[in-house]
Amino acid sequence: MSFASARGRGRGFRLLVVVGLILFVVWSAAPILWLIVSSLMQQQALIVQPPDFSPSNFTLENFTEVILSAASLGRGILNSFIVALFSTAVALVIGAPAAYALARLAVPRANALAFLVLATQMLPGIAIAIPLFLVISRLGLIDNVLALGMVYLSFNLPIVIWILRGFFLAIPEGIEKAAAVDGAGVVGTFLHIVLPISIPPLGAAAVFAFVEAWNEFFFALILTRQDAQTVPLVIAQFAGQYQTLFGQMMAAATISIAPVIALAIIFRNQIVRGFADGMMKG
Amino acid sequence: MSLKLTRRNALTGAAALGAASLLPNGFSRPAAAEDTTLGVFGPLPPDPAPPGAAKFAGAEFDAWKAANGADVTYDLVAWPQLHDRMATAFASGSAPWDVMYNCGWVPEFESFLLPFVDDLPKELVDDMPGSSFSTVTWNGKSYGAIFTLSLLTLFYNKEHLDEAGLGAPPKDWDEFLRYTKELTRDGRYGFVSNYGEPAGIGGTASYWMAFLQQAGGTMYAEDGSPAFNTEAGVAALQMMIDLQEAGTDPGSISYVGINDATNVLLSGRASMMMNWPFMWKPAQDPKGSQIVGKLAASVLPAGPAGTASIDGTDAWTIGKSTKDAEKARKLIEFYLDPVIQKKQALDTGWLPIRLSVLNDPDVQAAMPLAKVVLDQAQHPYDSFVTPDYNEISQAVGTEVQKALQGQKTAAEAIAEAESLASAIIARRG
Repeated sequence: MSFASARGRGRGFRLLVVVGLILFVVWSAAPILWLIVSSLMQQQALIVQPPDFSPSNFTLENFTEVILSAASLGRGILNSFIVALFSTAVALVIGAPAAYALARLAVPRANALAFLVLATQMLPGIAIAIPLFLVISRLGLIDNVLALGMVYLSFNLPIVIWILRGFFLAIPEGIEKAAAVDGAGVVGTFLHIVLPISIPPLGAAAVFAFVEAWNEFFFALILTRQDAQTVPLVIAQFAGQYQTLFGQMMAAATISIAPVIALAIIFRNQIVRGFADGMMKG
Repeated sequence: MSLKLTRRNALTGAAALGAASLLPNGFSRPAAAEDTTLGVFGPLPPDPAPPGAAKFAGAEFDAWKAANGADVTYDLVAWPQLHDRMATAFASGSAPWDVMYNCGWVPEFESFLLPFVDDLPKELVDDMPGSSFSTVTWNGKSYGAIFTLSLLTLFYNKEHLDEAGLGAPPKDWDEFLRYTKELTRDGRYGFVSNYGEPAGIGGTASYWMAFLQQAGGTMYAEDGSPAFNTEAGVAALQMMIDLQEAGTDPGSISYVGINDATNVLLSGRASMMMNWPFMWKPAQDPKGSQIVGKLAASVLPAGPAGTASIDGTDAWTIGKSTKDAEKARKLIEFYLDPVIQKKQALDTGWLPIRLSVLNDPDVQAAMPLAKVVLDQAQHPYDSFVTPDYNEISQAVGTEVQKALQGQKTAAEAIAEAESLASAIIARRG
């Protein structure tokens, strides 16, 4: 039911919908709000119960300490950017034509192939950890950001293909037929007709792939040493065996989520349209 | 290491490969003494990191490197990730380190480690508690050297005890229960622990192992089979249940890490806990502690067989694939040097393992705790590590948790735990 149709149901119902939405937003945003609040609080104020929210307990010290003392945070963010950008860009460049081929071209056993692509995602990470480590290690690519990007590409590519294939399947065939009548070949139709109308799903797939790569922890842990560490590893460094520096950990996490949130805000229209189109047409 | 895949690098690499293959020994040219680089894998500070990684003994470390013609590179990760990184590297046969931190994992990684303790200087070995080698010894070979005396002892809030008219810390189980009951007042609890994670050193099972030894029991018989389904095993668990009922913070069953329980003590919401020596220093820091100057420590209350504890098992080991076993051993000897050990204690809060340094007046003055831990070390302490320690402690710890939550009696839980442990050991063969 849309909000527009709810509008016709009277004030009480609309109020209920608004309250429900507010509750949902508060529920969803609470962890992020708590992340930001705790990043601004002193450790001793965080460990008491309930936490002591006195104004004197708020400080920027966690941020200054994280920025000044953990030089690895800047490097981690840069590495995460490189890895996420690389795997996302390549996934789109390879994934979009692959998805189009599986959706529209006369590929033998296209559905089986598409399922095979998805099947690569069905193995738990731990099952491939050692063989993957072995390969990367033998190639001398441990602690290499591009090698990590290649690994993430192998996870992101199937997801991108599946998101885009669903969208391409939903495009009316008449559009492509009209292009063919005008003399466009398969590549021309894909580049000049299909891609321009696929910006929203491409954006949605890109954001999805970027966030997946940005947040990944396990493979970054085993495939990097010091130079190629990504931001989740840097954040984890604040949790030790006997002591967790909650404030600093939260400050580092707040800094690290900022680019992703900025990305989501900048591309919010594309993301919403991309997923909405996929849902309606897929 | 970063590797740029450029055409120039590829050509340079190919040329280097060609030149190297023309050498009489190919790639096996022995490294010159002056260009040995030792790779060390360990935890990030504030966990027990060595000189060069943590901020202490930097000048001595530089001097050692110069004197020994060695460079040292550190690969450091947060403590919770150490085991998985090592397990993956070992399993793939690509562990690149010469010296590695270990924490109760020596039996598990035995086949990848080099026994070296027999080559350590006698005066060094004689200056360490004999029991410290038990957790780094497996199948009769010693693979590591503990570098910090990290035993579980009793920490308590002096102010809370004084307010309750309890002058001295509890000496035995009866007093422990009575104190816990009397200290549970004014919105705080007499005792707190972290029973949320069953496995590992510092997990629920390991706490029960401390009580087990206090009750006079042991985990394994001479032949390695489980031997804890005894009166002592049941009594140890019953003590934990009684302690729970007397006034243990109910949140204890959900606190996964010792950090969570420590924070309860540091915020003044509990009066006693079993903890490791490292908590002493953070407890004196007003930035993270509300009980500065109020903390004291004592040996763990005695059970029917006396006091007993478990150890944290932080050790340095040498990998079998080391480039230079002798220099790797010398680096460990350097980490255990009395001067370095003293700086380790004074600058980082990690107690030394060397008895002479533990008895050093400067160390005892700066860390009154040293005397208590030294005293605790005079009594039995064994963490009962085996190659399948994680599995066994998971099984035992889960049963202990069930008993603590009232789902099973102590006797039922211990019987089931021994049955599960027997099956795990049978699988090991």
